Amino acid sequence: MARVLIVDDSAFMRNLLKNVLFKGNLDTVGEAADGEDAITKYKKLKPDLVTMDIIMPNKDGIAALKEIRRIDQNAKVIMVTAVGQEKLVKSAIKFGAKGYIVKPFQAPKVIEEVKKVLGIDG
Amino acid sequence: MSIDTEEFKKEFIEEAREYLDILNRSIIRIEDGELDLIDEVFRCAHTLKGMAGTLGYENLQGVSHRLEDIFDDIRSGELTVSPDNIDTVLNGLDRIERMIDKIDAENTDDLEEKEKEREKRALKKSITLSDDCTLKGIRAYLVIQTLEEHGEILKITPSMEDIEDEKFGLDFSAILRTDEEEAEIREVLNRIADLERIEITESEVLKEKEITKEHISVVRVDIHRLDKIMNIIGELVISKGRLSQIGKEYNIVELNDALEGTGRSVTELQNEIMTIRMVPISRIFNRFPRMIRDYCRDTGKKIKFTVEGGETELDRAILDDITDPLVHLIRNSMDHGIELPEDRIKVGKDEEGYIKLSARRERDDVIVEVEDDGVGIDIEDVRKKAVEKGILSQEEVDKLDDEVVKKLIFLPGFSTSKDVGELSGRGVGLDVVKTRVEALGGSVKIYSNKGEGMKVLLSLPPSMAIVKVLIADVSGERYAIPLNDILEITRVEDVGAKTLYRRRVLSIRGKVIPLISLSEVFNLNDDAGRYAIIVERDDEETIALVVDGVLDQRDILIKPLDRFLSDIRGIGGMTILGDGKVILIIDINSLPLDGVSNA
Repeated sequence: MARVLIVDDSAFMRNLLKNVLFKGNLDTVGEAADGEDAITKYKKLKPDLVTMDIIMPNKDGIAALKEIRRIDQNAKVIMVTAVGQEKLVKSAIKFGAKGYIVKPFQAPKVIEEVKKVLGIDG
Repeated sequence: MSIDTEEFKKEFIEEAREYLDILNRSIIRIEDGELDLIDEVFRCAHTLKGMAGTLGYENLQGVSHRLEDIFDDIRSGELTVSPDNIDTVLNGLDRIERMIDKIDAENTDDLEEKEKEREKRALKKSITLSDDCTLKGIRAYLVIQTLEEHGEILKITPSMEDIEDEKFGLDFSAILRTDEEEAEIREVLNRIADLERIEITESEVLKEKEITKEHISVVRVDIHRLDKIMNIIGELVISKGRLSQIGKEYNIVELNDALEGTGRSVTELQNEIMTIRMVPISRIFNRFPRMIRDYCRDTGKKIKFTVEGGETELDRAILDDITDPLVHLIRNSMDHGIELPEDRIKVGKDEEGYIKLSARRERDDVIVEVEDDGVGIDIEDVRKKAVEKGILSQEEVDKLDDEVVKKLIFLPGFSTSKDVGELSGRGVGLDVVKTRVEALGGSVKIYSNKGEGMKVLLSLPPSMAIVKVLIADVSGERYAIPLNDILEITRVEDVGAKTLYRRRVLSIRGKVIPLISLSEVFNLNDDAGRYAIIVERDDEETIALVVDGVLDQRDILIKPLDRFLSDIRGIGGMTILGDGKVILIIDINSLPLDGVSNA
């Protein structure tokens, strides 16, 4: 089963996402509440994929993305975004984000996105 | 050195269309007996063939070559100019037109290029996003960024800018130069969600763009950009007005001086843009010879078609808007106007009828005329029809004089032709022509005598709506009257108003002019009305508008009224003055002559 690291400063959002991923048969191996935390956990857990919120304390999602991609150039990171953050998502894509999911979440779309990026069929 | 096709394609298309246009027109004249044009069409076909060959459009080259042969045979006398041969040529031209359209439509080239092997392959990816895709601009951006990791992107359709602004449907495409296999690219794209369809095709090789020191003297601009600039200039005119108002109010001399320069620049800018937007009317005139020729072949009618003043220029948007009305008028003339040869002979006319299309500049208007020598308007027939259709009662109709009756044919749903022709007379009638032309600020006049043919005259503004107006005070409210309509301004007391048959009139230099009080028309408090503004309407009637004061003269941008206000008689639009106040613009042509507006 694919292993996912969820990064979001809101515990509520993390839980919500975990639930969605679980339904899609995806395993959440860890959670991080800010960018710094995300980098530490990425090194430790070596997940297959990261869902990364953009606006977070300490280190924002884009800075964390850059750092993770520096550590592991094959890292698969999906940005978590809301309508209105298009500019940020675009710069994240420039720095190597592989996809994005939009809040409020639609479960099937989230699962599709994650599976597509992981290369899992169905 | 290979040719950078992308760079030349647009020019090619433009030029090819020009040749096609010349060919189409000349062929019809050749059929009419102007055999000396054969050299010219031969040259055109020859050049077209050469151009197509250079860029590798082999089909186009082939058809042009075939035409060249035919023209050569005609020139040497081996082929005659028979209607059948002309049909063959015209069909060939139609094919060429379709090919050019196709080249134009595909934003990539259709080249059968010869240097494919020597360069990397170019793959074209056409992608359709799923319809529930959120932030589709970002999704497309992700696709393009991903592709960029695997090669060099040569072309994106629509442009990257439009994609980022989400100005596209669900489809976009990109041409990528890459040494990776198609399957690898497909795999990469499969890792992206929300892509409904991915189609990868081989594209022709596009040579690397040399963006070096090339001198570009002509640029092609989307007309919408010009529209946008026009709007901005309009706003600028209004802002300038606002500033000069402030300058006057507070008596700031420096501001007024500075604004003078600004004003000049704005005016210049305005004129430049207007000029850029102007195109010769021949662009639409040129399509008609073919239309008429084909119609004659089908029906057996004989029509000589002449065009005059094709070089007259009109604003592009106006040109677009009058295309349909003109097509309609011409169809009307050939379908309902010109009689069959035998019928013409019976009434003593030449068996060949004529339709004349002409354009000319007259003062500040462009006049476009469609004239024929067909059956004309049968006034009695119109009277009968009006009663039959329940538009007017017999009594009412009998009272109307002939000139007014003629105008009835502009009413919606009015058609006097006895049978519905194949082309016109399907209910989309003259009323549409009239509405369309009036919406542009123009007018339509009709001249006709039974049996002698008909002339329809469209009078159009040559460019978009920045006009000089006179600001007048009517019972304390301000109205704008287009300066163009005004003949003279006089004080009522100087000339003296009289009442004649219960209508108020002015008598100026022996001429009696109906007097219309604007405050009465718009239901305002009746004031003394000291000034008479004498204007000439499009129906050549001169009237005097009574106002209380004459305030100022301005350049304004006419803004159209909302739909629910648009049929108030006597009002043609509105504008915003320098002080931010909205004022209405008087449309003298729709002003009720006998009393009160429905405002």
